[in-house]
Amino acid sequence: MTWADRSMAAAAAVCLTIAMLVSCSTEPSSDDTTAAPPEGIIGALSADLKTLDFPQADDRNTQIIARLIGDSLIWQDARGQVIPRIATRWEWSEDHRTLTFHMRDDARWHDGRPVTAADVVYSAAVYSDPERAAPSVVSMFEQIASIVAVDDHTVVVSYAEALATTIRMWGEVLLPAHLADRSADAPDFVPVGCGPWKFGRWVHGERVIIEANPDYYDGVPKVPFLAFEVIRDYGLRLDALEAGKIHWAGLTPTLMREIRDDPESRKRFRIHRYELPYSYFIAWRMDGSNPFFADARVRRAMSHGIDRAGYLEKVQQGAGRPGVTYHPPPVAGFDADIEPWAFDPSKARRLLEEAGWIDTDSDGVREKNGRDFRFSLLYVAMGETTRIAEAVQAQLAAISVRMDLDPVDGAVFHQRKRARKFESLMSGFHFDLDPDPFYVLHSSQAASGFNHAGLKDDQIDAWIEEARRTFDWDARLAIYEKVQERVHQLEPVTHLFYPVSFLAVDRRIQGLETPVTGPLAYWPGAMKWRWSEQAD
Amino acid sequence: MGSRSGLPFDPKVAARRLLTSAVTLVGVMVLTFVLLDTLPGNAVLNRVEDAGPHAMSDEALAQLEKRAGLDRAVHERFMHWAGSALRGDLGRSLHSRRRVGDEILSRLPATIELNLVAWALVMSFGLAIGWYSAYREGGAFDKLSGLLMLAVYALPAFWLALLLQHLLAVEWRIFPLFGRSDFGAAPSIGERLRHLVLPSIALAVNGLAFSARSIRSATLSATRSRAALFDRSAGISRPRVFFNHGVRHSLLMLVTLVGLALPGMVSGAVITETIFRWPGIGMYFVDSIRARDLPVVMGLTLIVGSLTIFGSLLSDGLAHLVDPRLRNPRRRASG
Repeated sequence: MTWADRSMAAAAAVCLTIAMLVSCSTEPSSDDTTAAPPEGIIGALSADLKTLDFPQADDRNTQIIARLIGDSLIWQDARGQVIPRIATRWEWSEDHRTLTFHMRDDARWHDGRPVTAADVVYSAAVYSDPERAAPSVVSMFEQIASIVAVDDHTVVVSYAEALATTIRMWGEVLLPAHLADRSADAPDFVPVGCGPWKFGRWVHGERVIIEANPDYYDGVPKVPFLAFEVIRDYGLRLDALEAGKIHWAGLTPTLMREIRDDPESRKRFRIHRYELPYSYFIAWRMDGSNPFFADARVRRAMSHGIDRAGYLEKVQQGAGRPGVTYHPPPVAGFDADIEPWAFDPSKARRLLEEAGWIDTDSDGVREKNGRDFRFSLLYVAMGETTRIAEAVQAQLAAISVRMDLDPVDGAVFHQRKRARKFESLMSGFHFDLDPDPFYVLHSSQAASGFNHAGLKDDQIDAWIEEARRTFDWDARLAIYEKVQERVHQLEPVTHLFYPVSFLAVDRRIQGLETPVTGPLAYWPGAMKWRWSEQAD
Repeated sequence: MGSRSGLPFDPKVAARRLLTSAVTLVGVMVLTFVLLDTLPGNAVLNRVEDAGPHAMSDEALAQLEKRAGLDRAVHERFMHWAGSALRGDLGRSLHSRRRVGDEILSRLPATIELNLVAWALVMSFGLAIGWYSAYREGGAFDKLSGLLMLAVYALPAFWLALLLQHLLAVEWRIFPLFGRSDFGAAPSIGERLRHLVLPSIALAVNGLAFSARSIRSATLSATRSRAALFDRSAGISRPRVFFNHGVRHSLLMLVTLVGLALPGMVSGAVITETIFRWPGIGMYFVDSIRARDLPVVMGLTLIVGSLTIFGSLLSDGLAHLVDPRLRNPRRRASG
C-alpha cells in the first residue's frame, strides 16, 4: 500500500466519521399520534412576508399576519358578514354620507397604550397616502372626505358619496398613532398591533411566529403561539406534514388524494374541503375591437362549446363547481337558480351559424366576411392555466373555432391586459365577500379596469349604481339577482369554474374551521384553535 | 505579466486590467438596466393588478409610476440609480418598498453559507478524487470514479436533489427535510451543519464531477511532461515526481476553479433553494426579474458582476503567484 493509498483510506475514514456524527439525530419520531401534542400550531405560507410595514402589504401572506396581530373597527364573521370589533356600534346619517363609530374603551396596543379614536384618524391618513400604503388600500380610503375624532372613543367619517360598500374599508387593521415616528426600515422594527396575537419573530424566507396576547379584550387564544413555515412547493408541504414539521397546510387535489388513499395518513389528518370566493374565467373582448365577440350569440356559443364540468371531473378530480355567473357561490347573493350554459356543441354550432360564422370552405375553421374565426387567448403561463387553455382550445376546435394560445409571464399579462391588447383573456379573481360587482362589470371600468370584456350596458350600470347606494341588505341582494340574470344572458365572460380548496389538518387540532373566508380571515378564526389529547 | 522591477506583477498591466474590468462592469449594468426596462410591464403595474379587482384610474396609475420614477427617460433613470449606488444607496424595491440593501442582506448570508460549503465539498473531494485517479491511472478506482463522475455530471441536478431529500429526509429521516434551521430557539452549529448537508451535496455534485475530472486531466498532463519524464529517468521516485509536477501543476487548475466559483457564491441556486426551502437569493433574483423590480435586479447584478470581475482578477493574481513562468517574461518566452 503506497502513501497515496494510505492517504486516501484515511481521508475516507474521516469523511465517514464526520457523516455519522452529523447525521446523528436526536429528534423524536413525529408521527406518533399518542405523543403529547406540541404547544403551538404550525401551518404553511405559500410565500415569505413581503414587509413588516403592514400598510404596504398587498399580498395575501403578509395580510394574513397583519390581520392576526392587528384589530379593526369592524371585521367579518364566518359567512363574510360585517360584525363589530373595536367599534361596538355605528350609525349612518340620514343621507348615508356620514358614519359615526363608537369604540370600546378596553382595547389596548401590545405595548399597553389604549386604542383611541386618534388611532383611527391616523390609520385613515396612512391608508390614504400613496407613499405609505398599498395602491388597492389607498383607492378605498380616498373615498373619505373627512374624518374627525370627536372624543377618545368616537369617530365621525364623512364621505363624498353615499355608498353601502364603504364600511368594509374599516376591516383594515388600525395603526398606532403614538408610534407614528417609527420607521419600518429600522433593523429592530417590530410591528405593534392590538389584536389577539403579538408579533414574535420573522426568520426571513423561513418562518413567522406570532404569540398569544394575554391582554386581548375578547379572550386569550388557546395555544401559546402560531407559526407559519414558508413552503412554496406543495409536494414539500405534504412531506412536511407527514414529518410533523407542520400541522396544517393547503394542498392540491392530487396531493390530497395521497392522504385520502393512505390509511395511516387518514388516521393522522382530516381533510377540509371548502369554497373560496374565487373564479376562473375567460373574458371575450366585446367592444368591437375584433370581429368575433360583439355578438352575444357568439359568446354564448363559446360557453356552450366548453365542457367545464368535464374538465373538473377529469383534470381536477371534481374539485370545483362549473362557473355560472361573476359571483362565486360563497359571495352573498349568488343566484343558485341560474343554470350554467350547458356543454352542448350542437347548440354552439347553431348559434355560430345564426351569427353568420360558417365553415364554407370546409377547412375546419368558420369564416365570416372573408375572415377566419381565429383569435388568440392571452393568459399567464403556469401549470394549471396551461392545462385549462389547452383543453378549451381542443373543445373550440371541435366546433370549428380556432383559438391560438398566447401564454405570457405575469408582467407582460398585466401590461397587455391594462392596455387592452388582447382578443380574449383567461384569468382568475379572488373576490371580496361583498357582492358589489362595480369593478368587474361597470362600464367605467371597461377601458382599463377589471371589466376585461368591455361590457357596456346601461341597465347593468344603473342597477350597480343603485345597489351601491342601497343600504338595506335584502334590497341590495334583490338588485344583484337582476344583474346576474342579465349578465348571464349577455355572457361577456365564460365563467369556467369555481375551484375548491383543500386543507389537511392534524386530527388533534380542534376548532379549526374552513368557512368561505378561509381558516384565518374571519372572527373568531384562530382564537378557537386548540390541541386535544386525542385525535378526532 | 512579469516585471523588470521585481514585483510579482506589472503595475501598468494591472492598472489596464482594473480599468478594463471597471468598464466591463459599467457595461453589464447598463445592459441589464436597458434590457429589463425594455421588457413589457413594470413593478408598479404588477402591484396594482395583482391586488385584484379595485378601481385604479389611468391617471392614478400614472401618478404612481411617476412617483417610482418610471416616467423619466431610461438614461436619466440609470444615471439616478448609478449616482445613488455610488453613494451606497441601492434604492427601494418597487415590489415590497423595503430597501434593496436590506432585502439582499436578509438573504445573502444563507446563499453564501450554502455555496461556501458546496464549494468546499467540490474542492476537497474534487482534488482528492482527481489526484488519486491520476495517481492510480487505469486502475479500478480510476475507472470506477470516471464512470461515476460521468454519470453524476449527466444527472439533472433537481432530480438528484429530490432523490436525496426523499431517501435521506423523508424515508430514512437521517437529515432534516428543509430549511436552514429547525423551529425553535437559536440553532446550534451542529444543527446548522445537519441542515446544510443535503442542499450542499445537491449543489456540489455537478461541480464535483467537473472539478475531479479537470484536476485529473491537469495532473496527468503534467506528469507526462518532458520535465517529469526527465526527473523519473534521473531516478527521482514516482511519488515525488507526482507531487512536484502533477500536484503543483494542477494547482493552476485549482486557481482557475476558485476564480470561477467566486461569483457563484452569491448568485444563488434556484432549484436547490426551492426543493430544500433554503432562504437564499436565487429564487428572489428570479422573482424580481419576473416582477420587473428594477432596483433589486440592479443591486443583485452589481454584486454578482463585481464578484465575477473580482474573481477573474483574483484568479489571474493567484496564477501569477503559483506559476513562476507567468511572473518572469523571459522564462515564459523560453517555455
